[in-house]
Amino acid sequence: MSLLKIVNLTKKFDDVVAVDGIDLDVADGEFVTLLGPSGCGKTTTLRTIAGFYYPDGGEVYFGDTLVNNVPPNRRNTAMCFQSYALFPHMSVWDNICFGLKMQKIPVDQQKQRVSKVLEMMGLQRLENRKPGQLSGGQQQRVALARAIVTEPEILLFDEPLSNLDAKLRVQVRVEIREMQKRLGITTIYVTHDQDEALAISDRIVVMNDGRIEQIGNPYEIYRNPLTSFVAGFIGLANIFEGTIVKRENTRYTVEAPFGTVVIDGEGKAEPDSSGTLKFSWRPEEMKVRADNGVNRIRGTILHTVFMGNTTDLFFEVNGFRMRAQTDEVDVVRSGDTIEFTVPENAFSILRG
Amino acid sequence: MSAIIETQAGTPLHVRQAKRKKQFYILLTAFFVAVQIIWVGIPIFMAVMWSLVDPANPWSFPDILPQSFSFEPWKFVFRYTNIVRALRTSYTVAPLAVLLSFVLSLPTAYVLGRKRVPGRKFFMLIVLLPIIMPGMVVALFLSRVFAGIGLSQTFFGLVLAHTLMGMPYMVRVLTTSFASIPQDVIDAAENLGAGTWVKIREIFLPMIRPGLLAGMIFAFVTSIEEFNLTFVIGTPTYETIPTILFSFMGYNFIRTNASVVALIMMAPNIVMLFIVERFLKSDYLAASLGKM
Repeated sequence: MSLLKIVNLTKKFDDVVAVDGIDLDVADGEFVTLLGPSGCGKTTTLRTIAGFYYPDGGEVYFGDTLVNNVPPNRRNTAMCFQSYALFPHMSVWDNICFGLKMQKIPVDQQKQRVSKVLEMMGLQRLENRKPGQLSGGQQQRVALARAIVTEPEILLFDEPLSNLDAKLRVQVRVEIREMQKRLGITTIYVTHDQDEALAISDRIVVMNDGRIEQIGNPYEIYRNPLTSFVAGFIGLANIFEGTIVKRENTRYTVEAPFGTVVIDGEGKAEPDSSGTLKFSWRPEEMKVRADNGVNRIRGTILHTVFMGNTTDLFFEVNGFRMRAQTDEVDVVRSGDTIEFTVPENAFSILRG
Repeated sequence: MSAIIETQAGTPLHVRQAKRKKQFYILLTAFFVAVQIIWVGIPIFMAVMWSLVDPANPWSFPDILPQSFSFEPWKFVFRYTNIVRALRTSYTVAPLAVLLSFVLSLPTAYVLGRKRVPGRKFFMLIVLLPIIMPGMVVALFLSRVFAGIGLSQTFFGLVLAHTLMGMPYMVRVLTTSFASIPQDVIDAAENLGAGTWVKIREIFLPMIRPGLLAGMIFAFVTSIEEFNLTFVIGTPTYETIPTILFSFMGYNFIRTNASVVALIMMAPNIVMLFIVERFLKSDYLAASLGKM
């Protein structure tokens, strides 16, 4: 049974449609990430789940219960805000205890549960501090502690890591994931950071312009994007469109602007009946100076960017720009003409 | 290289600049302190001197200090005026006016601070009207209204009049306080299960406390010093310290007695200001550390 069910949810602000009829089922204990650029409706969806916004259309169910008109304080969710939203006039202890007081938990149990969560988050010695006396990372932990101590049905995250520096971000996201797995809390996580989404989620919901572009596990989303938006938004991609000139089962020969490629579409989306095919592949799938392979692409290197573990190659094929990645640092220089190969099964077939 | 930057004296330019800047700040501070002393210190000193002048031995030019001191002016004021009753009236009216203006300002400030009301800026200006308009003008016309509804010469009418003068400060300060509370914090409280009353008691009230204290000081001091409305609406039934003070400044001008009343009026205000300052300081500290 799904723990959270969203049916045809629509939310408008004045004339702007923020969420445009989305459907989503989330299983008990699942970690689902809403991923998309700013203004895609991900935060609106999250806030509607929390109850801060009431839907203009569609339904939100917690289990079997329709919660459309249930105010936020009567919903058993707990939210971690981007700004942390700690109560500045309360100590760390009082911040964490707030939700338990609201639930009218007996005082001795309050103490027990707060102590436990303080220990779990490594905040034992900070319990008497005010939020202003804590570092960003510590504030983040207090916010997390305040949310999980209430043992909510659904844990909600609104870009919780965007105020932390890069290293801490990676560390805290691992902590969040481990904690979520240990406690088994159903979690909805909003971010615009694709790395974060790929690293942390059971499933990713890619949103754009108030609609869902694709739902899938991180591997599917990365390996097999269904739309050019998903291909372009998550990771890097070369996206082209061509005419199908030959088809054997799921093997397509496509004449693209830069040349002819053979695409193995097994397990991929069906191309539509128009005879054209939109496809993409990842830069890291391109092999430099491989000896065999069907899809040979000859291009001139425009420039290279050394990234440490890989080198980005920007090159041009018949006037079309592409991108490749190689881990062989000293292979190429700008101005070189070089031959790449792309494996037949490395392509994704896109719907739009 | 360093030879180019350093002067003949051997002090680097940036060090000399920093020194000059520091000297400038010290000069500015000294100037400010000097102005404060002339503006505030000297009048207070003069008031103390005048209140101790011996009537038998007047203080006149070119004496820098009175020839002899006595408590005669103090004795006179306490013996022949209603100063004690006026003190009692002043210090019962003021807290009541503060309380009433707080209660009346709270909803207005909440709406102006947190809701998107059309004409918000206009209302903020309207609220200030009682302090912009000359007190005598307000007093003249308000007294007519008060007389019409039977509030003239009543204690409640006096409290109401003082409330009116305190409210502009209260509304303005509380509006700013309400506006500075991040919506996320309110949402977080609600998300954790807080209903309306809990939000007011646990979040809004503690978070507007610094502003509330500031508003209370303004309203309290305004009430203690209020003359115009009190004179028209309250006297002769109710006298406050300022009405007694003004009685010494009319045609029967007596500087010694006026000084005594002025000191009586001033002293508690100054003491209170220091006390509340302490509270305010620690509160603002907490607020700023809380990164509101």
